[in-house]
Amino acid sequence: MIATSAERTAAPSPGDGGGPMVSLEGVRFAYGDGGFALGIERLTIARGEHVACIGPSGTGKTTLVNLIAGIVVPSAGRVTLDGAVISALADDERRAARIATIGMVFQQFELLDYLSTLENVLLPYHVSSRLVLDDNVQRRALDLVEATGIGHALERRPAQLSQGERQRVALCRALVTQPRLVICDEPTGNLDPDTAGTTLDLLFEQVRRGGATLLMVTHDHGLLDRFDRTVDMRELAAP
Amino acid sequence: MKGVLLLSWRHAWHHRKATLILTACIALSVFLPAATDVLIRDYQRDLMARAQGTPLLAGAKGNRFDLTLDALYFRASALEPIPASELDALGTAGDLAIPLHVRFTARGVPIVGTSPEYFELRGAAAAEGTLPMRLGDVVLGATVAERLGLSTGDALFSDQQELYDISRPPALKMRVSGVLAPCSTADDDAVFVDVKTAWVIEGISHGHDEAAAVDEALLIGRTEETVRVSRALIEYNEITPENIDSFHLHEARELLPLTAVIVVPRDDKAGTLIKARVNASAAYQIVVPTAVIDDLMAFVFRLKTVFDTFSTVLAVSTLLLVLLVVMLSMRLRAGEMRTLDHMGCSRFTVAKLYAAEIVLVCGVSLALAGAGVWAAGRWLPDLVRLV
Repeated sequence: MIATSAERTAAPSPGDGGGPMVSLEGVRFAYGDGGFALGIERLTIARGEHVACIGPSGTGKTTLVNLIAGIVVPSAGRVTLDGAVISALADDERRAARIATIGMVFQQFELLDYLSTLENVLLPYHVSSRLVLDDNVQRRALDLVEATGIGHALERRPAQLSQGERQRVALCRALVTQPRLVICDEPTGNLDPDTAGTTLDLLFEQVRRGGATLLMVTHDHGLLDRFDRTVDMRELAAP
Repeated sequence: MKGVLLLSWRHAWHHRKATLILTACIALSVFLPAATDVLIRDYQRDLMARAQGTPLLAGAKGNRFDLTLDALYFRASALEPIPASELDALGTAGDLAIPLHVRFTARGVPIVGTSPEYFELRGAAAAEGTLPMRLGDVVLGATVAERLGLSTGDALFSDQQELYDISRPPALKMRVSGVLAPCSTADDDAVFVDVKTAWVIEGISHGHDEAAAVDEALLIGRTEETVRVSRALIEYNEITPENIDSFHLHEARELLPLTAVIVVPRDDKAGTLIKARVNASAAYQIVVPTAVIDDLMAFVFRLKTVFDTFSTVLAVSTLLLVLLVVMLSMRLRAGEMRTLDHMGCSRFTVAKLYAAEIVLVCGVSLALAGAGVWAAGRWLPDLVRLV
C-alpha cells in the first residue's frame, strides 16, 4: 500500500532523542535561472522511518534530497535535520552536518575511479577532518564489504567491478560512517532487476541493522511495499 | 591532510603518463637554465683557478684565447711554435720561464713536454713513483693512470705520427716513472715528459748506433766533421741507460719548438717589462691568462643573457601549459568534486586536493631538476673538459 500523506509519520526509533529526523516547513526554493521552483508546506520523516519518494521526472525529488542534505538552501521556510535547522546554517556547518549525519547513495554510484574498493568505502574519512579513521572504522569497513559480498574485490578499481559491485561499494561508503540518515537517489536505476533486488536487500538489512532513517528516491513502484511510507512529489509539492 | 595526500597521490599515479609528462615539462624548464648557470659558474671557477696559477703566458702571435686555452688545457695547438731560445730570453734575471710543448699524444692523451718547475708551479706531487727526471720518463695524470690501467714501471708508447712513412720518427716507448696525485684540473688528463723527451718524439732529437759501427751500406757520405747516414738506419725507439748517451739534437737551440712558455716574473715591475718587450716583437705575444679568461667569460655571459631570455620564455610557456592542464583537470574532475561536495567535503578540502596534487607534481619536478643540476655540476664539467 502506498501512503501518500506527507503528514504521516512513523514512530520514533527507540533510544533516540525524540523529534523527527527530518522536517520541512513552509519551504520555498527556486533555481537561480528562474526555471524550476518547489514549494513544500510540510514534510516530516521520523527517526528510523523508511520513506520512498516517488514522482515523475521534474517534480523536484532530487531538489527535495538536496534541501534535506543542505546542499541547497531554501529561499523561505525551514529545514531541520536531526534536530538542527540546517537551512539556517552556514555552508561549512551544513557540510559538516551532512558528512556526520547523512550517507548518500547516487544513481551513477559516483565512485572515484583512481581509488580501490576499500579506499572508496573509506572516502568520507579521507576527505573530512571531523571523521577519524581508526582501527574500528577499518574493521567496520571490512565487515561491510564482506557483508555486501565484495570482500574479494578490496583492491580493485571501479573499472574492474560490475555495475552491481559498484553500487555495493557506494552503499558501503554511505554506511561506513554509521549515518543517522541514508539518502538514496534512484540507487537501482542502472541495475538489472536481479541485481537491483539483491542490492536493495543489502541496503535494507544494513540500514535496519544500524537503526538509520532511510529516504529513497525511486521510479520503481514495485519496491514501495518495502517502505514504511511513500511521499509522492505530485501531492507534496505546493503549486 | 594524510587522506588528502593519499587521494592526490592515487590520482597522480592513476594518470601517471599525464603526470609524468607534466613533471618532465616543469623539471626541464627549471633544469635547463639552472644547469647552464651552474655549469658556466663551475667552468668559470675552473678556468679562473688555472689562469690565476699562470701569471704570464708567452707564445706565437695569434689568437690570445687559443694561446691561453691551448697552454692551460693542453689542446693540440694550431699556433706557430716559438723557439726554445725565447725560453732562455724570458728566463733571465731571476724570472722563471717554464716550457710547454703540446703537439703529440700517447693513446690519445696529450703529452706535455715541460720542466720540473711546472710541477712546482702547479703544486703537483707524485702520488706514486717520481716526477720525470730522466730522458724517456713519463709521469701520468691521475685520471689517465686510472683509465689506461698503468702504474709506475709500466711502459707507454707515444702515438705513431705516420704509420706508413718510415722517414717519420717511430713511436717512443716511455717508462712510467710516476703518477700524479689527482687535482681535478687538466693535469689529471695529460701525461708529462721532460721537454727534451718531447723533442725526441718529434724526431728533432734521436739516438742510434755509433756512426763508426754503422753498416757501410747505410753510409751516404762522410766528412771530417759529419757522417751522413741513410734513413734506413734504425733509430732507438726506447731510451735506456745503455743508449741514453747516444741521443743527440740535430737542430740549433733557437730552432727547437715550444708551444708556449709560462713566465713567472720575480715581481710586478719585471712582469710589466717582460710584457712590453715581448709584445713589441713582431712574432710573439705575451698574455695575462686571468685577463683573457675574464674577457672570454664576459663573452660567455653575454651569450648566457640571451639564453636566459629564452629560458624565461620557456618557463612562461610551461607555466601556461600547467595552468591549462590544471583547468582541464578541474573540468574533468568536476563530477568527482560534485560527489565530494554532496558527501559534505569542505571547500577547503577540495582546494587542498588540487593544491596537493600541484605541489606533488611541482615538488617532484623540482626534486628531479635539482638532482639533474647536481648531476650536471658533478659530471658535466668533466664532459666539457673531455670535449
